[in-house]
Amino acid sequence: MSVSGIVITLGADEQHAESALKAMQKEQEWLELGERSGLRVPAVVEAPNDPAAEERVRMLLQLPGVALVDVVFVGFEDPTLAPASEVSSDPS
Amino acid sequence: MNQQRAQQASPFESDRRNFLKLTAMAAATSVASSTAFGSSAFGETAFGADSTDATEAGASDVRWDKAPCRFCGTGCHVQVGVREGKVVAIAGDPLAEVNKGLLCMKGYHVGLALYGKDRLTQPLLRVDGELQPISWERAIQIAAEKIHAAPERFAFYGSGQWTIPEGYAAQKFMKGGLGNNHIDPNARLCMASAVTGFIATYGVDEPAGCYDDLDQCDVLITWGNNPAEMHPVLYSRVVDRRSRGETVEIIDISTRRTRTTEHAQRHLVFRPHSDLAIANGIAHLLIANGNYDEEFVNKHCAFRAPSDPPTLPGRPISFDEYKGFVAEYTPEHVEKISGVPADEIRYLAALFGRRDVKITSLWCMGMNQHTQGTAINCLVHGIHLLSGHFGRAGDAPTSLTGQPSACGTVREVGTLAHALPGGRVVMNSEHRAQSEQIWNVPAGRISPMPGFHTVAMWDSFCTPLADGGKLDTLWVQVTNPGQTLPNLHKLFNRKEGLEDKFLIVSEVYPTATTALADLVFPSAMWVEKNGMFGNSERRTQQWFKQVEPPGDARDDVWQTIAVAHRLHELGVPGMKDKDGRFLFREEDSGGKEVPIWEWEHYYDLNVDERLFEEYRKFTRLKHKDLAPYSEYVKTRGLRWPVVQSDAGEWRETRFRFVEEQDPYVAKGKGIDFYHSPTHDGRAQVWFSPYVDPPESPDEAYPFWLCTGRVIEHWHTGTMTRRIPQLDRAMPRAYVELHRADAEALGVTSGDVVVIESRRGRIELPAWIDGRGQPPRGSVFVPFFDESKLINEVTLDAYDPFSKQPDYKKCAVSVRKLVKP
Repeated sequence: MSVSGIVITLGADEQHAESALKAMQKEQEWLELGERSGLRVPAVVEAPNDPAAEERVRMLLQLPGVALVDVVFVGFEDPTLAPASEVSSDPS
Repeated sequence: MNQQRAQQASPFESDRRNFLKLTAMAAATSVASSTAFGSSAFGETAFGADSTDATEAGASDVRWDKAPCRFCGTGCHVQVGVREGKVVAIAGDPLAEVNKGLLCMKGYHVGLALYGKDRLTQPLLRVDGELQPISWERAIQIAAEKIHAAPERFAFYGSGQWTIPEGYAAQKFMKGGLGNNHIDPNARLCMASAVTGFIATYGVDEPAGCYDDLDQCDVLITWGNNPAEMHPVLYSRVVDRRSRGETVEIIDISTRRTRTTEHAQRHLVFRPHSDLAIANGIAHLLIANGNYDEEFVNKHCAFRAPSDPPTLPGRPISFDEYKGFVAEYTPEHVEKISGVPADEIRYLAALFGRRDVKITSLWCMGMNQHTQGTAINCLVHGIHLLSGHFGRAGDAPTSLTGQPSACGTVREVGTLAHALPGGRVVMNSEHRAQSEQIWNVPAGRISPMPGFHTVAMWDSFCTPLADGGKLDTLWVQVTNPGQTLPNLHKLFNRKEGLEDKFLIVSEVYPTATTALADLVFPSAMWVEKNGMFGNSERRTQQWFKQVEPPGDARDDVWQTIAVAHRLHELGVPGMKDKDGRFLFREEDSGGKEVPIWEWEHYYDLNVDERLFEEYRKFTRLKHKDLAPYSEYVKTRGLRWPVVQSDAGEWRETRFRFVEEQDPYVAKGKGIDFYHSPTHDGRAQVWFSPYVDPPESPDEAYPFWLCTGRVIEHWHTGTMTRRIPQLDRAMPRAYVELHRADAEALGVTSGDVVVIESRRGRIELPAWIDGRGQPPRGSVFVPFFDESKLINEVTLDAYDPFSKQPDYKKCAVSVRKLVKP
């Protein structure tokens, strides 16, 4: 499981911003929206794993009316997210 | 979310997930409601109203504490969540003025940098070509014996990733102990020209302004700089202003199109090395058009030009001489040299000629990694001074650093071959005497001769003693020269097989440097130890150890002190102070010596605090005053000079040299450059001519090569390539090519091409119309990829004053790889 705290910054066009919010509200299975503050909306993204979380953040970014998505919290204690280096690393 | 998994989750897992969701939302809400750069509003941390202390997160067993990010020189603060001895979460820190809760993609994954599966966890000694585990006792003994055999042939190589106490311990060990000045950092490779530029202009290092300028400027000029990728939180700080309805014009002056360009109104592409002509062209027009700031210049400036032979102070010239020198740089002449249209030069000059706009210049490696690095730094300062765009919030020439403590450790502690802490230099007898007094070592202990700077150090180390090499043992801490040195075949790879050379490396992961190491010390990193950094805006930051390092990994400060004590036991006189006591002696409150050289006693007291309090004595000698350690524990950093008010409060300084901001500017002075090289309160406006680069494209090597970084990886990727999310996002290096060049070479994206210079060759996949877009005749390669060492190709020519090499331009050939 991956849990990320994000801040969504809406574009200045209010009509597009509203439609972006409506689109996001339909994704409540994995997206929890917080209270809007000006152009910013705090939110939590859940995903089965980290690549899926990255994909969901990318999807939000592509919504018309969304200007920016900043990730401000990343939890990574789940074993499925245990980091593993793929870098060739023979110290000798 | 995965419903099936959720249904199967234990109550504990469910609680933990809910807790994570709550904290994630709290962090996001805090940032969303408080992020307003330029305002004084701050949010609460996600975990409490005032997390100046470690914050307990309700009923959860996650413990939160603050730390600056481990990566670049921006100095963002993160909140670190620890559970059962492991970092389990990272959040931006809304209490931090630098980032107000925001982080870049590297920052919010910084915790994972600790947990690559190939962490070094035990000392290793090369035996019959293989690194074999040994005990710490033996490792320390071997290192001490190597140094003891010939202390004058020993060198210490560190970086701007040394914490302040780490750098200070290394500095004291070398200069105050061994009487040996062969200590230099990899920061020599990234910001040394900024240092010489500041010193030649103001007589003292580091920016006068700060990040607040980014909130106030009307115009931001990026000089060969790509902050959108290298300092993304700072760039967001500027771009974000537009979302609040503010107007800020961004002008990108660079040698290739980057992500920074995407937000710029104007993009001026110049031929590599020709930025000196552009700066001189602006200065010429300011004078020719009569819109330079005559009052500012008359009150606060003097003029200077290169001397013969060349020296950093140069020679004084009159305004009329200066005017005559820059007169050659007409817009048309500048266009001919730089390729930038004459009208764009006129536009820039007209902008600087306006008093009603505030202009901030930003630069980093583009101007510093330059064989005329000192000169171009001076020229950009000069434009700001000549036009009076200095001393108001938003009007500032500001250099950025690439490493988290390039300023705090390298520039302030002075871990350079010629420097001493607090802006002192070894060539000055008074400075040596001050340092010897603070260190309580005998007069004459510190050598007056500067040691080897980085390029000379590695050249000497890689040269057999019989052939004139002067160094035989070299200790590297917190950096990876096997990947970052220029012209690696000459400056690093030659070490392989040399019997009379011994390389000691303190590291957290295997690297290109440990690949040739004879002895490896496993190190603790970031929140596995106490630490202090100093960022690009003079902000000193502190954090406490939050988790244990893995295996036998230990703090770098401890390693230095342990080797010093072993040398003390071996009878090396330099390891004693003038009272006969161990150089790093520390006592408990009862006056009893604490054996901090023994790991089990190292944390009996806070060694960082002890070293820092001693170092603070130096900082007052050049008005770089730091507050007591305890003040930094309470804050997300303070910008020096930090002085105590009559009421006892410690006050930081946002803008130096400016009355009512800088405590060292007397009332009524307005602006006072109180470390003026001419000792009259004046800053120096320099003329330096455009000169040809040391190597230019020709028939055999027809392309310019520029190297640099990418947003996903920090420095050599030692840490970020072990973070799966970042590694996936940018798995390998590439070469950016212009589409027309690619077509002429018969290359499409993904094809492997051969990049070759007079020094080496490398094969890389091509990327056309990618993230960065070089102009025709130019290619770009990032240096983060250990498997694709572009520095085997780069040039080791360097600036005559800063000794900083030029990684931004050399001549290469490019061809499609033809497989047999």
